[in-house]
Amino acid sequence: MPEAFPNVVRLAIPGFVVLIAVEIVLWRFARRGRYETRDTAASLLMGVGNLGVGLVFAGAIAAVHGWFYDHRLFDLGRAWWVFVLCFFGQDLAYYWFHRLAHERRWMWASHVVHHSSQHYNLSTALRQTWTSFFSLSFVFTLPLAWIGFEPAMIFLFGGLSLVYQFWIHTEVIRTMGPFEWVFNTPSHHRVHHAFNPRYLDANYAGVLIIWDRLFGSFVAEDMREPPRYGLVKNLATFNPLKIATHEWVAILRDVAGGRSLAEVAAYTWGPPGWSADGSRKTSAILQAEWRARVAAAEDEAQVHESETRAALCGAADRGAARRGEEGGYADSVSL
Amino acid sequence: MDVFFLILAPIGVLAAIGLTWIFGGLSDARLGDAEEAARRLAELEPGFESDEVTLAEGGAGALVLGRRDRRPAIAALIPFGDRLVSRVLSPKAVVAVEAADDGVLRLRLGDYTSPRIALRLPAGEAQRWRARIEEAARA
Repeated sequence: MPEAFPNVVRLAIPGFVVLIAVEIVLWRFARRGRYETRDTAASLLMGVGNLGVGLVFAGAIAAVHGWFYDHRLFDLGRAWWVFVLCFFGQDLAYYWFHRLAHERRWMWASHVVHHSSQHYNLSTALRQTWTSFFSLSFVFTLPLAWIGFEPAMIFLFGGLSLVYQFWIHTEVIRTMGPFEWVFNTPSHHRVHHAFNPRYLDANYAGVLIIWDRLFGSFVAEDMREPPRYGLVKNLATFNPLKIATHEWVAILRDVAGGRSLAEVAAYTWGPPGWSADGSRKTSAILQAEWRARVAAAEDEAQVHESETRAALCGAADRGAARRGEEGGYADSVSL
Repeated sequence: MDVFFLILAPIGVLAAIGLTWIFGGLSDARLGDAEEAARRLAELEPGFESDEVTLAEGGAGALVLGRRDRRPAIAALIPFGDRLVSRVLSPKAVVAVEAADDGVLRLRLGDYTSPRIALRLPAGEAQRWRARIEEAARA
């Protein structure tokens, strides 16, 4: 029987509390970041609920992983290189889980909870779902168990990934130099939590940002457009139960009004924001509209610049002609 | 479940909440003027072009008449903690609208997280906006 690994998330909880307290003090005395009492309470209660629900489903998730491990392809054991491979494998699995959790509504219904705060601070990191089991988030690491990685090792790296992702939920740290090239950072993750159209559906990384760079979902934070945090349609409740269930309720309502199987399928597994009557907008539509607005604004600015240039050149020509007539010297005007 | 989860975790949670409260974290968003309302709405509802804004008393929200996707639209801005939430008041979204004598416009929405909105508007404005919202629902 191999030795069990420690529960790193549980070990880290006192550290979470201390760091949140430090960030609150920084907000108050150094005006870095922002906390709102009811928002913080909601986030922390979601975190406590997530721990409780996690205990309920932990056995089932471990059992499913155990079954796949029992039918494994290889006996990998616990050599050092197995740990390294497991780290990369778990992080890649997390990237695809996270990406699909944003792109498929059934999974979004659970993950949306984490994005439902309009604040971005360390307490937001703990605003976690109560329904991840139902959205099937655990299936993404099953291939690792089937390959031959011990489920306990997979859970260890899953826990370490969660602990890593805690500290990047902050506005206190701006950018981190070359660290930004390889690792997920506060700057990268602020983009991920923003609902500005330019930032939607980007930066799904857990620990390594390389996956986003590799699969084309990386967007850098642009200091000229600070992230606005939350959802495309923000919640107006601090009630944890409503926060946990609002998207499931919305799915139920849509499915009840569905007029065909195709509509029901689109309402459950289509992209979030899809609607049969087009009254709501997906990220793709919002981004297309944003690009059109930017292009129109640039065209307008170009026309304005051309008109201004023409007016100035005309004025300069007239001035030069007048100075020539008056026998003075004529400067050229370069614009 | 052990002593850690039963005692220490709740203490940590309460301490963090208490700290934000002591440091003034319990604040409500307020709008300064109509221009700010239009700007904030454009951030929350990209593409919404505001034509007319009525601020609620003390800047505690606003109603905005404008255009969305080139069609006439009405939107509400509601304070939610120290942030704002927007709702486009489409005929499908509004279940009931009522303008009370005290100048409060009350809206009931088919919205799971914000089923009720109440905005105290300047004299006569509640009736005017109710008529507008009802007219939009009939259109």
